[in-house]
Amino acid sequence: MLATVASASLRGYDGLAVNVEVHVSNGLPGYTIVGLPDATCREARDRVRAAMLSSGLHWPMRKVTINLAPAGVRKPGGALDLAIALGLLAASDQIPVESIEGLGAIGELGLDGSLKPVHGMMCIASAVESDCLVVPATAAGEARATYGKKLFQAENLAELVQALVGEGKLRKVEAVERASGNEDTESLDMSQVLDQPLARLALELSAAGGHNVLMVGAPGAGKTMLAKRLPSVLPDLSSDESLIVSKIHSAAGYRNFDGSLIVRPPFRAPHHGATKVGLLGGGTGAMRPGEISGAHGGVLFLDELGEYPPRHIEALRTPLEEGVIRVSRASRSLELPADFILVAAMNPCPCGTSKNCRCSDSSRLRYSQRLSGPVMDRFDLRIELSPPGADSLFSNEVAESSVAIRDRVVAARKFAVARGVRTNAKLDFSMLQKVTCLSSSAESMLREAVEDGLLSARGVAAVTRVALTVSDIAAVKSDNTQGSVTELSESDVATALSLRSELGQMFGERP
Amino acid sequence: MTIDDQTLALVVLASLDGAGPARLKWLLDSSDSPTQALELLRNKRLKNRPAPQGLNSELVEKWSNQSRRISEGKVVERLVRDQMTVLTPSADCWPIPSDDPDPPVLLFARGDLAALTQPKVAIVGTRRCSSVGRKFARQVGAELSGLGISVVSGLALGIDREAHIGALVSKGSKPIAVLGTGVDVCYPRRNQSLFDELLAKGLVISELPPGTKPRRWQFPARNRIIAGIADATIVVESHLSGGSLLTADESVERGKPVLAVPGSVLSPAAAGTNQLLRDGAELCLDVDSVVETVYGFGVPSKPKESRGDDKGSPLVELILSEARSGSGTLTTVMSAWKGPSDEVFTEVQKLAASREISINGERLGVL
Repeated sequence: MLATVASASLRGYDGLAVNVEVHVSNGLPGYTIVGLPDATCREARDRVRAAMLSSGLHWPMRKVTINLAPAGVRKPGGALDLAIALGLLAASDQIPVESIEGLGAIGELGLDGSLKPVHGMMCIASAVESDCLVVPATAAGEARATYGKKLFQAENLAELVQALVGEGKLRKVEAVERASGNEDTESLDMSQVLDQPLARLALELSAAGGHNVLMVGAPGAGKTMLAKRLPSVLPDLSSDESLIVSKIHSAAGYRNFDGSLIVRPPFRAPHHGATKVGLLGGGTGAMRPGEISGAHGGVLFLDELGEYPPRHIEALRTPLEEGVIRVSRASRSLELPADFILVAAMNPCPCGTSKNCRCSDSSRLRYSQRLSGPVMDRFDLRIELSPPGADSLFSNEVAESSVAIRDRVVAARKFAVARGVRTNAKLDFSMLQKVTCLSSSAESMLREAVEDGLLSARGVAAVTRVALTVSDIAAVKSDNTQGSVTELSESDVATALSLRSELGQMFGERP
Repeated sequence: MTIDDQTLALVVLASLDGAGPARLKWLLDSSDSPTQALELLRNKRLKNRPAPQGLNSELVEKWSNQSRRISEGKVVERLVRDQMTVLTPSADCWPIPSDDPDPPVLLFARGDLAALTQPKVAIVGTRRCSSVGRKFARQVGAELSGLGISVVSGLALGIDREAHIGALVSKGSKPIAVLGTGVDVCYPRRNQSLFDELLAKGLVISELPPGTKPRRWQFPARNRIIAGIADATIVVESHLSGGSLLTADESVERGKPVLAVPGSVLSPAAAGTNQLLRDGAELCLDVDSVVETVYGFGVPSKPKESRGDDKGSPLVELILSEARSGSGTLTTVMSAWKGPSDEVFTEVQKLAASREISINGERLGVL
């Protein structure tokens, strides 16, 4: 007897349609799974057998062959358990073959027959090639978010089998309203940041223009606190972005969804002990999205940048440039979205104290040399932070809230969209020249910086980009609009220059 | 470049392996002129005389062989190629007073010889300096240079480096570096960019022949030249057994003023300088005290550069006062200034461009 059940397994942040073909025939009792299952998937044989027996079903003492088609692609994870079980039941005449016609199934089985959610349900549900789909009840919301056809849920195998033999009814999953998520970060607000006007400005510009930020400062200056609040001033994700971000987070297993999509920009802060694969994505099975993809549409925060292995930081250069990461392995390659704002924090020297530094010149130099020039060039905004003064610690003034800043950011980003890019940070030099011109005083200020050797050609482009964002924010504040060519004033350029310290200056080296 | 036979012979003798200042003097004492001494050495006809320690007949034999292999033409070629000048005591700009107890026999120089005719003050100190020492060295270097006084130092890390940088930044007089290696060898390598800048905007001198690699004993010997050419020596920071104390000793021996910067009694990097002060060194508190001690008059007050209409605006005043306080940052100015922050940035950038303040990261300072 032969039965086929449609299912899917995870690949990157997308699903791969898999047909589970179950063949039960006469012969010596045996049980094999073919079609490149990975270790977890291969173990389905034991889970499925135990689950069937626990659910009061009968195990066929015959020759069982299971093929996962297409046979040449590796299938990871336990998502195929349920499909294998249903196929076996149909092939061994325990449920009618007609009952599973057009039915897809996704879900991992417990030994007691319970159905368990799987990573990336949101990604794989939409890939199943069937007329209707059954999923574990706990993952129903997530599947509903992307699966457009009829969707059913079940708590365990026994319940499902009862329905299929006509003794019960399949429970339908209704469409859920897409509510906004990420409540956990909403408690972080810029109004909680004391003083630090320079850093607040830098974050606002970063949010408005998508500029990467490097913060250098002694411990306690508030680098981490500030970075965590950057998402709170970023605009909501668009519906397309929202779906992509949700799928990535589902695939990476960051959270289980109740069916709502992520609408607030994510914040990822991998520890410096993270492996390269953990950061960039990859791995043998599903090619899991890495932290940089997890930060897609939001903020990637690298605290203690100097502690990350230089190779890992260098590897961020291409994604920073292109907004995607291409993970290539021997068997296949995959493109994962990785368009994020990079925020990095670093101490000024290994000992980290701003006063009474105990570091020798050579150790300071080694510390600053952990960042290569090309990596430094990716940071349009580089600021130095000092701990807030006593006055501001005890003042009663309440700083501006994130919501007020976010309104300006949203308005300023519209100017960038009018220029044909998502944010100003994406403007390359030739585009930049088309949409900006320098006032004479601004030009002389930039010229002077170049002649003093403070700015390279790349630096000029970076300063111009930031100055454009400064000008955008100023236009929002004064309720003006920006024309197709924006004239940058002296103060725009001065602001951008002030927010772009040279690394050598920050680490006490020679300018 | 023209070079006379006597100087050329001197260069050849100085290039012999292991011919330090004392041994070189011994060689020259053997006859009336360097050419003659070279002639005698090449023909192995040097008279037997009491020799400095370590100088034996074997070494003389080696020198003799080596001197015959050195071609004068090649030596000239190299000097011309690397734009090196050879100074002898007869040169117009020979910087060492005639009563020096231990003058070098010759000096190799690269850069602008005019630097030697300026008034000169040495700034020396430890390589393992504190951040305040570093800051003070740079500040005094810049201010002295601004007054037209050349800053002499030794191109070491730490205080030396900061003094040189200060002198270069202020764009006043031409700084002088006295090396413990050949004038075409940068040691430590990390100072390469500073070395290049000194060559372009100042002067680099050494008594050691071109190509001489760093060796331990050469650096204390170099200190006597620093003391010899400078009108006075400022020790910014020194440990209890620091090389800069040797420079101070050499300075005292030559009857030149030694100034020391007082430091915390708890700081090991200030132990040497505090010791100097106890032993009677002059107190160095600022550039005024240096000029007064060394040249005996006060510093004429610097005419402040006027910057037209912005002069005296409350914001400029605020920025300048924050910069002078030493702890001012962009953040403190922004917190204190109630107006829009772009005004702050514009003024700060303008003041930095006209070199009235410096920006280091976000820290403001005065040059």
